[in-house]
Amino acid sequence: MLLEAKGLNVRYGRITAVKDLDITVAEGQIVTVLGANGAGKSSLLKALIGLVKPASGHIHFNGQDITHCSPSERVKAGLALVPEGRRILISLTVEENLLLGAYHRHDKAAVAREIDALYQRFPNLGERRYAKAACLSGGEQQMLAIGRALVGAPRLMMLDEPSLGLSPLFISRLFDLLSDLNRNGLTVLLVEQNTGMALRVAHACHVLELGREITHGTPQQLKADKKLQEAYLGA
Amino acid sequence: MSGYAEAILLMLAINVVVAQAGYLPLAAGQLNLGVAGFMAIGAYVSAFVTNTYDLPIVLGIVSGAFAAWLVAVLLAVPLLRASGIYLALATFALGQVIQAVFLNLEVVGAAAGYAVKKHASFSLIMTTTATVLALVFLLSRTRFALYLTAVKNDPVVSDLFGINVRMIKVQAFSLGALIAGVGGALYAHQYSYLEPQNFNILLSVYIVLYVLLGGTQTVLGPILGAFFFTLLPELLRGSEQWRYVVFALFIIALMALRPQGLITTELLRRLTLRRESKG
Repeated sequence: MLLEAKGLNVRYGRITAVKDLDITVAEGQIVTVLGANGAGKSSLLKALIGLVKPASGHIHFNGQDITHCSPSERVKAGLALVPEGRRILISLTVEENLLLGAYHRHDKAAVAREIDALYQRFPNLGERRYAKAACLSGGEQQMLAIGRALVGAPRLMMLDEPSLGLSPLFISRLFDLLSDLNRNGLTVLLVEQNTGMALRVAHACHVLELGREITHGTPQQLKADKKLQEAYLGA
Repeated sequence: MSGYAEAILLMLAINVVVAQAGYLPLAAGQLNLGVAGFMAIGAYVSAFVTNTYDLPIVLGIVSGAFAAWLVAVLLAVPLLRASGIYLALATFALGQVIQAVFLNLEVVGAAAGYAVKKHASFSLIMTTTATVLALVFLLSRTRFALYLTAVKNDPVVSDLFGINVRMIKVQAFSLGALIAGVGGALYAHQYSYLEPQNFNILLSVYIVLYVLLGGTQTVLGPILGAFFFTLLPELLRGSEQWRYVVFALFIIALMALRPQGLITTELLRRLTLRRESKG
């Protein structure tokens, strides 16, 4: 397993956001975590990247115990998070945002090549590489946020609600991109409210409710479960 | 050059230096209201070592800057646990404490003041100012400037990319103090007499105003701010009683009309573009 979390608990004071969660992500997969608001999806990702300390539980990445590592150590180990709301640094240029994503890398030539490759893939970003990120559209900012994570050369990319606030056109482009990146070897852990699209691309799926996992399985299994469909997946 | 012009130029040079001392922490999102305290450390240490050990002024400046830097590094870890308005209050208190320490320190004259024997030449002050500006400018061309902006904009995301947020904050704070130390030392060897109340809170507020008025995005902004604050009161000398009223109104108007400061990166970009298209 590339990522394995066992018995994970996340608490904010007296509130338990994630309760006794086990989750595994195999290399080369797209795993999606679904659930309504307040299900604990974002807290799960924050615990996995190290932005919040889990109250208990263990996280292993690539065979190494990272439970007590700082976010920057986890990023160096090959994890990346595309945070909710994109969190682009709008007073910096497009290129500066990308350079920040490669902060921990020292192979400058390779970084420059990869940034050029990103500009090929996203011509909109290439054209505005020296413009402030503030002047990008929401969809372009999401592409920049993903590009920023990619130049860190992650093995596992985690995305927190990447489709939020995007137009339908951009949403389908986004999921095409994720499938494409996955085919090229990137492992993806995706938190989404857009269940239809998430189930279309995922290999495995976990459904959370109030911090607990209520079920998991392949997208086919979940789609076959009529009660689940009505109650949680809004289909 | 007339004595008046020379005096104004020297004052301007020192203000330009201390403006950079306010700028570096602000570039990382820290409002440091204790800059005058770090100036006092630089001033007293430089005055003391040149008076007592007959060191050349340049070594005095280096010692003063180092002392201010050291104090900042030691205090940065507890101080920078606070941010925003709380950090401003903490640095304000620190400035007051430093001032009070010198007010009671008999070895440098305490409340009676301290005479500085060695007087810096015009060229030494100008050379030091130019050196500080050149170094800050070089620094602004490195990735360090990018990290300062990143930490200021979004510490959480900066952390996610592996930027050592605390280290960057400490560096911005202590480098600012180092430059304040240089500015204080220049002050000591220019005015030849030090009193603790020279380094009061009003001076710190002025330094922050240089930066806010000039603009926090570029190195040029604080320089322009310092020019503005040093020269405008002189230009308004015609109406002696009203000049500070006019001056204050001017500040309010500028802050209302151009809150981002006079010079922004956008403005510089547009200016260079125009020059390129002409050339």
